[in-house]
Amino acid sequence: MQKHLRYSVLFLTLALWTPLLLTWLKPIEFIPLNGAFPPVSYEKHPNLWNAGYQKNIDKYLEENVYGKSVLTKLRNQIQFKLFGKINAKDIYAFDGIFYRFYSPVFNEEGNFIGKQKVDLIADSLAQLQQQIGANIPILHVFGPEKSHYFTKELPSRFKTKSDSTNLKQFKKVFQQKGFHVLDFDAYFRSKKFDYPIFGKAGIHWTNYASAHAFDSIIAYLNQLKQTSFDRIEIEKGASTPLDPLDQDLGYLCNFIQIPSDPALFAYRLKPKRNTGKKVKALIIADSYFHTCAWTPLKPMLFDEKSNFEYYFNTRYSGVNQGVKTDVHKIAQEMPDYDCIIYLHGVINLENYGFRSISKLIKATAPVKN
Amino acid sequence: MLFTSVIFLVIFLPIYFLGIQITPKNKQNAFLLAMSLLFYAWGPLQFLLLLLGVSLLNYYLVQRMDQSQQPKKILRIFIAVNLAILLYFKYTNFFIDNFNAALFSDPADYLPALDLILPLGISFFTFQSITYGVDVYRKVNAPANQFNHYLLYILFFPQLIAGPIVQYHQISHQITQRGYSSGQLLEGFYRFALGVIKKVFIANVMAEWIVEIEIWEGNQFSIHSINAWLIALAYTVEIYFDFSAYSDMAIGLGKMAGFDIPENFDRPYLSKTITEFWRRWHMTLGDFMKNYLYIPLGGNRKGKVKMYLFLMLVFLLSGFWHGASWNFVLWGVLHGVFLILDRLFLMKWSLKVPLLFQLLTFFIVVNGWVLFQNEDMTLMTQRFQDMYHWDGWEGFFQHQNATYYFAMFGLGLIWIFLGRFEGLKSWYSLQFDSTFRFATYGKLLVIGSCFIVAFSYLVAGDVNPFIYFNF
Repeated sequence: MQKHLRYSVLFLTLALWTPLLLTWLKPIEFIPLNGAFPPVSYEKHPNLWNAGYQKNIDKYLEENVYGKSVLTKLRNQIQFKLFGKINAKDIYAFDGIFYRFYSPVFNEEGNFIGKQKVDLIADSLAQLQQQIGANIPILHVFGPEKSHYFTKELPSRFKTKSDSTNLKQFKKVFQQKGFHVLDFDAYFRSKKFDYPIFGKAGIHWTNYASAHAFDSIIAYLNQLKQTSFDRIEIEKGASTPLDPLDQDLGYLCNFIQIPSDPALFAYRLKPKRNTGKKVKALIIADSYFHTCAWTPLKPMLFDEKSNFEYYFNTRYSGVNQGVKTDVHKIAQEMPDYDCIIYLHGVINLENYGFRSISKLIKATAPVKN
Repeated sequence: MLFTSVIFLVIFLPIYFLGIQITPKNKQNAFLLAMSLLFYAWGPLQFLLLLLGVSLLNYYLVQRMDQSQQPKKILRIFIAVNLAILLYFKYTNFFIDNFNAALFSDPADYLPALDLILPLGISFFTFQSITYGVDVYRKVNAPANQFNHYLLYILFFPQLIAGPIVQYHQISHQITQRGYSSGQLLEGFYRFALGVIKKVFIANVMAEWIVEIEIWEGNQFSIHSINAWLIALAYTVEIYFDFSAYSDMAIGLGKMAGFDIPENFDRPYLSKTITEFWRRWHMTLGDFMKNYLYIPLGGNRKGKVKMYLFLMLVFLLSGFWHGASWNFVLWGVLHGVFLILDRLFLMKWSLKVPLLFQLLTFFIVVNGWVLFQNEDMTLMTQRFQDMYHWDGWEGFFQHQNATYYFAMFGLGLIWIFLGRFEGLKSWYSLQFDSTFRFATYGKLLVIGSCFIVAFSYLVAGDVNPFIYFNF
């Protein structure tokens, strides 16, 4: 046998055995993949006859083969670099801008809940405001929508010009009823900012936009209640590192290197006027509040007794682990709050209040003798 | 177990590759048989017992037939037993469904369907078994003189599940006398890796694309005409690369152990007629249909009308063999009709304008795959309506990943088109001999590198179906 053939076969044999040996020895631990994956369902009653044992071994190996996370990132990077392909489920990219898939395909007209329902919700909110009293104003905050912000960049099929949308109808009715409405979707589109409102690879508004918005909310509240709650300033060019939340969709795509977004720059938040008074708020919001809840912004603007009721389902106080929302506890705490903030992304407006309104009306209703 | 599953690539293949090298020559068959049994045992175990039982019966019947004064009688029993098993597992529920539909108007009166699972590879196993019995009857070859030789012929894992359909005389001498060389191992690996690459980079991507187009359309019943054509074309590319990749892998795995498994594809989409297509597509099935069905029926020896009738019957059965559903029958009929038209005039015409007929044949084949792909007859009709009803340029598939799918589709078409160049056929096989050749090792290096990338795709969990496992 010729040497070159013998060595080639030897090399190939070793190469074929390498994945198995590495899976067995696991010489280095790799960073796991980002994002949520469906749990692997193993056969509960495996045996050889139903091939349950065999399937379970298959699944175990598929999940635990050595270097799966690195190989997955390698594949994702190759396909993205060469063809712009994204393998993460529910993430859509167009012209280098990433969206949660439902965001651009979300049909605002199709999701319109109707004028009648908007009126009913507005009536309920008016009742709630009346019950808790005008000194605890309810602020209705609409977050900006990424597909509105990048509307020029999106294909025409993702755009709507209709007036029959939840955003337009809620805003119209709330304003007619004299509610406190802060529409950041319109606000951020009406002005130019140094820093992007959305990162190209981010799902929510950027931390910068969020900081700007919450500072504006405090300003509004100060004016409304004649208070002097602490506000912040945004200092450009400081050394704060980029927040991963500004590029969270990029991270979820599991690339080796997420695409750069040169528009994002480092900045620093600093107190504008330190009176030591901070807003004690009940925040009922979707994940648009994440950019505040888990960042230095929250302790700078909100009192530590402020509570974030995520989808009115889970309470986050500070950075604690969530506990189940308790409507009766909220009712007891209500007199201590300076305000209630309802914060919704445009997509979530069809579920305005996250079923909190009627529960709060019931829990805060005056006791009848 | 799929050849492109993680378990096969990470555990089974290394053991097989090393085992061939270290097992003594006189134990090679036992090793291959053990690997084949393990391979099939990776599915429900009762099917392995069924296969072993039927194989034992077949071996016994053929031995008896060979010694019998009335071999025809035993051959009939042999064929009946094998077809009965196939009919039971594959077609019982089809007949029950059609019986119910024909006789009862109230679903409450329906006969219940049986809870049957199709044993993996039963269609191929049955046909291969039949070729063995018939060839012994025809004295093409003597029966296997040892049961384990017969078992290895039937159960040899590379071709057990989805072919190629190997006739006993094609490999009988290799079971008893075959050489081993390092060159064969490398050649086998090369061919196997080529199959994996075709499967992962093209067939799997086309399968994913079809799903993405359907999602893009919101899984609507009626879809945009361009999207309907894209699905038809993607499926055309997918089924070729899927099935031919499987054959490449089977041939490669056989080659590693010193077996020459027959080729199954020869650039079918470059055919000028449907007759030629069937000489190039699933060649071993074509051979089977010709030698074990068409010729025994009478072939072209009983006049033209009967010849056309036999052709139609053969292709109707060929369609039915692919699946217990009317769409497969229609697909067979379509091909049967064009085979008859070929003999009437198309074959002559195709010689005059070959390029036009290549395109025409491709067009017929693409339409045929629409029949093949859609078991639901209403959906199939709708797909044809969608394809032939122009919806304009707005609204077709413009997903973010479209560039990738179109690029891989283009790669598939280029691969198919490059088949015109005979010189490029050499990429399908490598010859390793005592002389060191840079070109040979260069090709191995290129394919080996692509194999690693393909492996990363599979580990990452790409879509990875095998169409012909269903048959």
